[in-house]
Amino acid sequence: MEEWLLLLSFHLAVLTYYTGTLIYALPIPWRGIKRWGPELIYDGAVSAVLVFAFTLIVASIEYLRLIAGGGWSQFYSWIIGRLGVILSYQLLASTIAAALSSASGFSLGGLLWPHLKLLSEAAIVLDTVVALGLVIQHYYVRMLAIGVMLYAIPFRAARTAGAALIAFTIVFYVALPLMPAFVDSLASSPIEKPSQQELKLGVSFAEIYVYDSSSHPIPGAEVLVEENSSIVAEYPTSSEGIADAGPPDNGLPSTPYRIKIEYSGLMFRATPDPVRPAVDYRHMGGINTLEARVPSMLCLAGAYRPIAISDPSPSIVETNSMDENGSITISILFKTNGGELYVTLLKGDQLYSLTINNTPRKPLKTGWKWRGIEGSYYKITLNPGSYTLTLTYHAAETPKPRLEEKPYLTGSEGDNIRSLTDKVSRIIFSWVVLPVAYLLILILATYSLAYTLGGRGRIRIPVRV
Amino acid sequence: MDVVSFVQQLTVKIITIAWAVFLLAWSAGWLLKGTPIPFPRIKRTGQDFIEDAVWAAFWLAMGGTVFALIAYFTSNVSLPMPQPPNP
Repeated sequence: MEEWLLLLSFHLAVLTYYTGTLIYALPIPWRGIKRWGPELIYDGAVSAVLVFAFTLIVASIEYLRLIAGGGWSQFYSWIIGRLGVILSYQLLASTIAAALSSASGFSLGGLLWPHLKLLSEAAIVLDTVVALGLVIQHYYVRMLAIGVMLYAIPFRAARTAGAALIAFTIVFYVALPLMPAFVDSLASSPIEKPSQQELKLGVSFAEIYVYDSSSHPIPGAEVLVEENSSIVAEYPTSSEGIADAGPPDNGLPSTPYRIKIEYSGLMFRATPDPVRPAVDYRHMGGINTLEARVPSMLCLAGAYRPIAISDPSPSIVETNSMDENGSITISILFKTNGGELYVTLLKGDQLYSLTINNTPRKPLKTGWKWRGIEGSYYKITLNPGSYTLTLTYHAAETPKPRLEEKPYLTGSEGDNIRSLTDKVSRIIFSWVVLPVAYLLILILATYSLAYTLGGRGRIRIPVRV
Repeated sequence: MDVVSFVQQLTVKIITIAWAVFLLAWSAGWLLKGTPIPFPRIKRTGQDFIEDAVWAAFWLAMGGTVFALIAYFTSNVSLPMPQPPNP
């Protein structure tokens, strides 16, 4: 293709030259026409120079690019790296937008649309620069050949266009790969990807109803949310046994996660295990709810006095509780596959009797401390079978543990939005304004070079007119 | 017939016409210059025709040489370049 274009350019140059001589020889006393003669001779010669020097021009601009230090592979890596960062921030903005929308019930998340739009525009600008780079890198020889061909058309019919195309190819091939150096020298500081902590891969919201094995709510428990073997959020349960992981600040993972219940110094796994938000949430009145059950715990004896069994799924048949003059008697009929039974009491409580199948037991007492409250538990080892546990004790005043809330979404939404706004502004300046400014500089340089190559008016040549 | 052969044929025709025009201009120039009339401007025009015709014939005849020289010089200039400096 390039060879054919150059052959055509050469023949056009020859045609231009001889047309010039023809006009030069015309026996008419009209200077306006005769002036074209020497000009066409000159144009033909210049076009021939361009055709014969084509290989030299191509080699020269490649050489200039190497001297300038612009590498195409570094150029693409730089842009692709920036596109990755932009995509991360788009994901972050979408997450925050989803959180806000869920929180408000209507499109408050639309507040973030300008950010998303700006990030999209930044990505479009960088994509355009990549496309421009690909076109120039792969087609610059052909573009030069087309430029020379246009340049050689007689009577300067497309000389300006040819000069512009040649200048564009030279300037952009040499200088476009230098854009990263230009941007990095002017941008204040590098923009990092949002951290893994900032960039939650989606968020879900729910109120978690925590029940024991007999469907009693568990108030004052700490609900731990475990994602990928690490605790990512903590929510305390209210006096109704409800942990609020709702919008806008709290949240839960949108991917499957596990729930652990921390209560009176003991740790329990809750079902469903794992929790799959898409399946296990129920939607009630605009709020997602999740029922988390702790099958190995009974909360019959009052707050912070759980009765637990290490058998993960004991079968509780019947429970009974009586309160007479401050003396509480509890009886539980249950089946187990064997394990450790823990009876927990608080500091100050007085255990009157503990019987299993009407046989009094004097179990080992171990103290515990948990979030500012103290107590003790009695541990009994059981074989598989059915048992009736009867417990009589006096309950002291119930203290209040220091429960904490550690939301899944880091910080408040406001902090996230401020941080996002700051990052988006810097992205727009560094990766939109600066590249566009650089492209403008290249366009102006192209214009100047095109003007030098052929945009001027008539050029004087050393032949008599 | 592709564009290249069309341009080639056109060039040949232009060259033929140019030589014919040269002869015409040269003759017309001498005719005007030699006319026995007392109008110096017309005689000057005849002189211009002759000069232009001679210059045109010169460039017409030199066409092949001009392109050969261009090809020669440009191919001599395009020598291998030194390695760019490493930063």
